[in-house]
Amino acid sequence: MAQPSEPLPSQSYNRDAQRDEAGGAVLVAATEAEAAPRSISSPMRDAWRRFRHNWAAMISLIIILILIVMSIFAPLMHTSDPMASDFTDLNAFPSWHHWFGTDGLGRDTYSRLVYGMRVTFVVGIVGAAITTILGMLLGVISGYFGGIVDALLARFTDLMFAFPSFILALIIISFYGSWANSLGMGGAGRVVLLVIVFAIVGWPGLMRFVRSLVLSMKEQQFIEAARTVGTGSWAIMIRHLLPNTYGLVLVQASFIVIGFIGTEAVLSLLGLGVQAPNPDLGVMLSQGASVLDLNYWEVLAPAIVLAILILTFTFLGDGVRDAVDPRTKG
Amino acid sequence: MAFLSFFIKRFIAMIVVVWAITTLVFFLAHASPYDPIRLILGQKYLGDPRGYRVMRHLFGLDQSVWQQYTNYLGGLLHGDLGYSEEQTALGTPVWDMIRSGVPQSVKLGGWALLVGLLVGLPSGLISALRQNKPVADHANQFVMMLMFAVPVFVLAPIAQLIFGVELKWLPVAGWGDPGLLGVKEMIMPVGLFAMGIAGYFSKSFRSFLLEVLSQDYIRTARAKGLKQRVIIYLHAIKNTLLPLATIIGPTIAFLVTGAFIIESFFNIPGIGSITVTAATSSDYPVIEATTILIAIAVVVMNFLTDVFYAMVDPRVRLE
Repeated sequence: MAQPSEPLPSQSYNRDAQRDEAGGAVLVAATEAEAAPRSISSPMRDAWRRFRHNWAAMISLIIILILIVMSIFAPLMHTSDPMASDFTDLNAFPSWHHWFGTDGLGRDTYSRLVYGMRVTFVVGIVGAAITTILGMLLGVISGYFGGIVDALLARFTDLMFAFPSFILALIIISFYGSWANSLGMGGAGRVVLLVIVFAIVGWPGLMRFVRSLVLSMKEQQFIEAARTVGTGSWAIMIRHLLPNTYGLVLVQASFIVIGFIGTEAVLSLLGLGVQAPNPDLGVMLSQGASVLDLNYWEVLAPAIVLAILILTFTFLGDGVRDAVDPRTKG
Repeated sequence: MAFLSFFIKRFIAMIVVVWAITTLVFFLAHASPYDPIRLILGQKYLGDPRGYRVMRHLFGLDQSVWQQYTNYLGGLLHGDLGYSEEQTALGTPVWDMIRSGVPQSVKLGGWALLVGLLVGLPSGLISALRQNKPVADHANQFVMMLMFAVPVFVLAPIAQLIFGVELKWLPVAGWGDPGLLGVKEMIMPVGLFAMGIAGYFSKSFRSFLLEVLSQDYIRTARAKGLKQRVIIYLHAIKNTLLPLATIIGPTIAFLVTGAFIIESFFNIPGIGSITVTAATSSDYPVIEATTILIAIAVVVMNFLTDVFYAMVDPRVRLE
């Protein structure tokens, strides 16, 4: 993580240093930039160029996009109804008809996987997006205003940070789970609750991170200049401070997604997330584990899909980090 | 004295956090739209308003919020965690229910931590000393990365399948049987739990060691002609203690989450299983008690880490 006092690598106000990071000598880069004004290089474009050359991250990105498209267009993906039972074919091994076999109620494992990934992606990506925006806003407000606002927000964040987030999520779900069931949206009530819960528990780390970035940036000259020409506080925060944190926040956010995907699966397999008849990877894992001796495919299939999801998101996150912040390349 | 004032400040902060957590848990439970008495009485007695009032009175739910809150905090201070509201265990003191679970969870987590450290630290040391060697560093770190990145809820059923169902070397699940069976039962849960810890510590210890080994004082030690062994064990490892203390927090969080998963897969009657059972049956007093217990354990561990940090590094006390 970048120390508050250091200049940040991928900031737009620091373009020459950025070029230096990218490998070229400062002098050469500077003269090149002056000599050829047409090849404009922005930090995001540089990051994308670095990202493109990272094959592990690119392959992961493609796999994730394919899986997302599959789960969005699930009815078109050669699936049958994920809740429909085929009582002539219980606990079946993979066949031409059931690609990944069937479970104890004769439901098609492949269809349940494709539909179950919807929950994973909604909770992981929507939950992470909400909590990231929340953490960024609180962080920039806390860092920019300072004083009593900062003191209150920072103490509150410390408190949230001290509370283990898994336990907090578990408490909220066990207290409000039956209420979410009664919302009358079928299985969707629980998914909404999961998104809300993750949005509540995920932001403290990010808030601290953005706050430290803002603290180091707000004394710099481009902010002073903005203030001098009469830019308002909110405009400075939203137009000048936040855009300079996007790259590094994206790195943090991609790791938040991984955490949420894992936690969602854990909560569902413990019986607290998505409820049993609805398709979900965690639910399938716990149901499969109970019939391990009958048909190992029922546990292997969701386990492999979850492992693929978590590994690809990890490679993606590492790729984004190396692209945005090349100095921390491990 | 700087250290004493640091200690007192942190201690007070810890008490405030514990109080805030218990308060948050209480009001979260209180704000829930769900009525435990209705579930206890079930369909049969729901029509009897007198029985309903009696039950509410018994659990103290007819008092004002403020009164319930002070009773609850006072009870906590005396170690009184209330009574179960679940139908089959109705009225059992919560303390009796969770007392048996704590040692099981501590046993599982303790062994996992020990095994994880015994594998992870040497692995990290070897790969830092043989940096960029194909087997000792790259293959080693790749395995450790997989152990860290592949979640335990993916590995657990696969391990059960291979070692329990197919090879029949180890029991698929179970816990606490006497003799050799008890030891065999421990191998899979402890091993799986330890894998994540080993991977995390190996990866972190390697990077901390490499960081320290590139410092000037190590170069000076080399220039003085000190033996490699002396440099590593006397100068380098001592200086990785401080960064290692920073990963204690995430390790504790991993231990807590991992306990829930492992206990559920291997039918271990620990605090995680008790919490999950209570959560699925909406047994509020038990959920409140176990979660507060876990949260306090985590907060106290973080406090001890801070104190240790301040003892090792005097700069921290003056922040």
